[in-house]
Amino acid sequence: MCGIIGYAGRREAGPVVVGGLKKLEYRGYDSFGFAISGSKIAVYKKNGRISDFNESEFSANGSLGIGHTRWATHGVPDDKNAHPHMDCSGKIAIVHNGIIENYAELRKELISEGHIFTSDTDSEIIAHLLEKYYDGDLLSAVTKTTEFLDGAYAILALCEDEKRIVAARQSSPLVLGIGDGEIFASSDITPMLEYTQKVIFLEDGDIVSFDKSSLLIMNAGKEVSRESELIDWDIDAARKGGFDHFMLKEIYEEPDVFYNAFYFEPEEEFVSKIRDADEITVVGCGTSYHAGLIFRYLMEEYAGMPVRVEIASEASYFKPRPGSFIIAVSQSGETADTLAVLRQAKSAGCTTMAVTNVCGSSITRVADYSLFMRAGPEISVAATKSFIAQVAVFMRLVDELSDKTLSESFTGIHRVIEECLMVDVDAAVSMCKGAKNLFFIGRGAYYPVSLEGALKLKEITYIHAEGYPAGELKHGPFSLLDEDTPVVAVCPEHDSRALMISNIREIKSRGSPVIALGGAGDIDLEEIADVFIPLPKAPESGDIITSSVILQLLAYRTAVAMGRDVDKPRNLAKSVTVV
Amino acid sequence: MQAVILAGGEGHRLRPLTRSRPKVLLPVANRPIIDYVIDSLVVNGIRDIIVVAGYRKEQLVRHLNEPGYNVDVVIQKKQLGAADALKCAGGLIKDDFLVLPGDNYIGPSAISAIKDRRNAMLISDHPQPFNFGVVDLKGGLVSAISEKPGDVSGMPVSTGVFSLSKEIFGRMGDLEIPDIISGLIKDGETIEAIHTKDWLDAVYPWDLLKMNKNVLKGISPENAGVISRNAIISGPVRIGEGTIIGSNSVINGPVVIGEDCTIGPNTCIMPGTSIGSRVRIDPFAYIEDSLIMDDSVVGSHSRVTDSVVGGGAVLADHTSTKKSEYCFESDGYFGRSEFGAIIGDGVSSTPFTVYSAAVVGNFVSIEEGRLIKGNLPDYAVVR
Amino acid sequence: MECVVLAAGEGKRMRPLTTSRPKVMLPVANRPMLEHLVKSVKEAGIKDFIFVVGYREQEIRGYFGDGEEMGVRIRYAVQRRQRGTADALDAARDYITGDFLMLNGDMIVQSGDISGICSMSTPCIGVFESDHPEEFGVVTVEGDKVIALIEKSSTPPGNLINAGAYLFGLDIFEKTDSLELSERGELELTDALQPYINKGLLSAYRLQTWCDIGEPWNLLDANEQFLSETEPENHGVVEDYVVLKGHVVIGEGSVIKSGTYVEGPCIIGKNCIVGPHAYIRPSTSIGDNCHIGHSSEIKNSLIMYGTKIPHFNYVGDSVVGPGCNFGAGSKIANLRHDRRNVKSGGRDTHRKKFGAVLGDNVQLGINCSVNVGTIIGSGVMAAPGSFLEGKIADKTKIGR
Repeated sequence: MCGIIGYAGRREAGPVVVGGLKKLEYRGYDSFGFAISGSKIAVYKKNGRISDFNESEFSANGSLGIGHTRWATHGVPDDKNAHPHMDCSGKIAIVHNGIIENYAELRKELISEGHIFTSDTDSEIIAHLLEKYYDGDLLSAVTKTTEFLDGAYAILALCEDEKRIVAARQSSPLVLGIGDGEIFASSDITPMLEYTQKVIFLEDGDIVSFDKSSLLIMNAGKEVSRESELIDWDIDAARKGGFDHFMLKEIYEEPDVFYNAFYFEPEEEFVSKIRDADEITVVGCGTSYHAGLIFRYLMEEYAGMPVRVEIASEASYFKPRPGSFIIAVSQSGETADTLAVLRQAKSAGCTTMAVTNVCGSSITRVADYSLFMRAGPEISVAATKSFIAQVAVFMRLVDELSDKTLSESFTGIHRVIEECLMVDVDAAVSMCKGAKNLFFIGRGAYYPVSLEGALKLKEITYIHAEGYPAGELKHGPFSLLDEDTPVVAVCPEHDSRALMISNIREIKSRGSPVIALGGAGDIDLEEIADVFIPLPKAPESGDIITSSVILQLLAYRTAVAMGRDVDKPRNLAKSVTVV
Repeated sequence: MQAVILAGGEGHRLRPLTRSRPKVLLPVANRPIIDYVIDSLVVNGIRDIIVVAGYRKEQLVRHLNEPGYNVDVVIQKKQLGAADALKCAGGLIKDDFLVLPGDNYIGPSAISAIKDRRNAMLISDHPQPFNFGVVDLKGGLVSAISEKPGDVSGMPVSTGVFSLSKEIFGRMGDLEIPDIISGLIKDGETIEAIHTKDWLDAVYPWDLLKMNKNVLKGISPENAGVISRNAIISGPVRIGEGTIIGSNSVINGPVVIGEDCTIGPNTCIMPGTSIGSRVRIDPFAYIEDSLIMDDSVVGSHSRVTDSVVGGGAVLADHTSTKKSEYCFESDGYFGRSEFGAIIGDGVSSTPFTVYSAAVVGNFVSIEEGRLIKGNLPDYAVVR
Repeated sequence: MECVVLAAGEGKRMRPLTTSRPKVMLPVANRPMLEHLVKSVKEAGIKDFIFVVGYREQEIRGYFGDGEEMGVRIRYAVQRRQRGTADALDAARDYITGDFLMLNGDMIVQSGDISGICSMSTPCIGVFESDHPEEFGVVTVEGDKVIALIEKSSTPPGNLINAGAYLFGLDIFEKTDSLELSERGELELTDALQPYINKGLLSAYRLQTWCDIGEPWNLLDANEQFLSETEPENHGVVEDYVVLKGHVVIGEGSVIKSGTYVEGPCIIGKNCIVGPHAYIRPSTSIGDNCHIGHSSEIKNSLIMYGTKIPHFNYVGDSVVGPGCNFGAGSKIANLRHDRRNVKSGGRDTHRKKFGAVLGDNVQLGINCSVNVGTIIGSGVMAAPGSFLEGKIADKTKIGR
């Protein structure tokens, strides 16, 4: 949700921190700020986006710096709630990513002790706690402070009298980068790739003190050593090039993304574990949850195996059974809700597997097995190619568990996805952009496709859209249908087609305009739909992919037509690392 | 020095192949044509490159986003010709610059001949000069470029490569590039004509075969993938990662084969052939002097020669192509050529189909084996 | 005085040997070429090193550490993108306090020459009289002053080449600061020297011996040169009926089994098993943990650690990466029957005899034949009886 960065080293800290925050912007863009420690601590913070920051507005020299880009959880996005937060004396500055659950009581206590708060955030209490416990040693003050904190945090702290940064991690991501005469700390590796490839992923409970050349990692009062890893990522992979938006760039990568994610050799070991599991449960949030639902339909159809799919934030109310095989799906590998379920499942004795896009991310270190989506960095907040990659990974698993029923027909799938990119959705866009409400309907595996289509549309256009099983509309939502509520029907050549067509007729009789996605040459459908979008000819189950890609394009083009900020929709952050 | 590559046009005379990609992205020896232009510039030390994209711009931008390209992209909103495309890049031009068509093969020696000259153009010879602007010369200087000339046989043609200075943006108005050049000449400027042989243009789809053959001569051999010990590979052959070459297959270079292909046992891949990525060639197929694009399938016992096969086409077993004469009319001219078949994207044909000088549109479906000659429009169904 | 060593490049022409190590870590006489360089410089009395590292830097850091074991001090500066020699020098800037030496990491020089160049006044460039000046940048000199630096060309105006060794003062950074990208898109150190040349300030120092290692076959030349200077040492076990002729070095834990015939100069690393009945011919270096078995013949070759050439093999004039395994009877040809120079990877090796270059972990089945000049990528696997020639990419499988 928020992004933090700290730097200690031989360069000027200011430009390094600002450059780093720009790379972390996707994690939050309500406000930003930073503190540079030279002879004194200089602080700059502002409501708005780091990418709009004008370098001439602020300059401070110093070799230590911390910065923050915010996605508001406690307190509205404005200047005063922006990080860094200071103590009363102005000598201690902190940035924080996470949520302090017991902040209200701590705040009350600190106020009664005379501390003066200037923001509405939960984070500010950390600065005041540090002030309270500081007696000349920032490390021990941070250690003491963390004893009082409940919740999730990654903290970086600076003190005017000390030439070092102290960091602490609990349930929020924090990575160290080790360079020559410089050390970085950040929410993810992107800001430091420019300077070093050597990183240390911190563990929960770690408290770290570092300056430009020395590093001390403590956990539970003892010094610990953590292995460093070498990261092999291409610095340029996240360039937008000539595309108007990252979202469009990422959609255009989908032919390769699907192909790369689908064609991998799953390890014998976990495949047989899945086969022998008493129960298979997939957990995920948002888009990842929808990918899990598609897996469920495919497993039922091809492998004859039932699968449970749960929304991660709800799964904690169910008790994982030992003998279950738990698959946790998260693009970033840091999604707090998903991580929590995974940990719970693991301690209950379940076998666990992570499906993620980021090597070294938290879920890969908790899970017994990991499958990587190999989709490359996804910058746009709306997940597109990562959804396609998740579905591809799941399809490959189904293929493996069902004697290759899918892959045999997948020759040419790359080309088929490429064809989707050229499908004209303009007529559908003009119908959607004026609407206030929309329904997306489908049956079978196309029901989760509809859910995902609706999610994409609502998150970037801000139009209220709902995915629904086509047969379920008449059990309630029919009363919402009228001529101003278009319905997008996903109706490819599939067992469900006949029923879908009768559903569409019912909808038409309520006056709603219908946008139908169906097989090219489906004359019946073309006739009853107001707008017909032909799907390129695809192999069996390939329509799941083609219809998903086209719905992504529909959402994208509608958002552009409405002038929305496609890559950074309001109120949303890329990976949600708070529960 | 800067360079502006014009890459916005569709290249409609290359239909049906340009439906899903602009002409600059048509693969020749498995690389888009524009790559050769960029390479030639970089070899000559010209690194400040601006590409003007238009038709199917997303496909082009995606390609240029791959690692290894360091170019600026500007978008031409409507396809209003070369001068308009150049205007789109005007804001980025600092001083003298080259302007080049991105859809021609332009070799390094051609660039090196013009790069240090100011107010110059590259000219070359072409057997059908009427497809180009032809150039009148006087003592090594251009006296006129004419677009719609009469009898022009034997005259040198404009390659579309110019070395110009920033000032010309001042005189553009709504003029086309040849008119701007004429304007310069009228005002007493001299335009030097530099002749090159290191240039090729594919005007029609069948011209791609010649360009492919030419470019294949320069490939550096390298084998990758999984190659049967019993495969016989001779001459310069490039095989991409993940490709499987079955046993007893004979590959005689120059040949390039992309990634993740399956080349079945007992196939013959003969010189002058480019095969894209993820292509399947079934056992006993024979391929020669052909260009087969990504994701296509050539069935067993097929013979494909002198042909272009678009992306995702599926030719069932016992398909044959027969090289024969093809007459066409284009912009008022009548031309002749010889080739087997030009097959669009997504075409599917049944066993025993024979193509003879056929131009088959995209997504044509041939449902019963028979002789196909002449043109079939997109989405046609042959029963 | 500090010595800056440029060691950031991969050395693309050395592929596939550089799959998992930078060029400067390639072994010559069983030591990374960089170690030989450090030794020469140390003998000349300079002990303060700054390595500019980049590609696979961990290999260098892991091997040299802070230099204490070698009795020197080594600090590291990172060049993250390959942007030219001047850019590499700039990376080391923070560590430099006064006049300093700057050396390319991929060459072999003698300590006498290092002392020589250090006795000159700054700025100074090391030059060397070469038989192949067309392969290098050339320097024209009047007296000991440089009058021009000329880029590599097929018709060089002289035979003194730029050896990649310099003595600079801190003022060089004023020159590098104002550099612009060259045609190659790099910041070139030679461009920074132009102002000195214009004022007649750049002096040239002629190196007595020098060897540049750019291509895999250059490793064989350097190896030959180093081995010719080694003294015999035996820390291993030599069984009865072994013939050791000339200077042979045998590492700790190695066993030379009966019937083996070794012609020096050659060096055999630690924990190797050689023989019985192996034939090792001159100018061969065999790394640690190798196995050269029965009826195998190795000639003028560089075999890296952990490689197994166990039965009925012939390896001549070849560079074999670490962890390779030769099936019984697999052989490498090293001579063209038309007696022309061998070409490898499209380049002339200038050698009548040259075998093959094998990357890391190449697995050859039994009775494989490898033709002259073949470049075999890392992880290539070949089925029994395969024929290998040309250039074979990493991880290719020559299947049945």
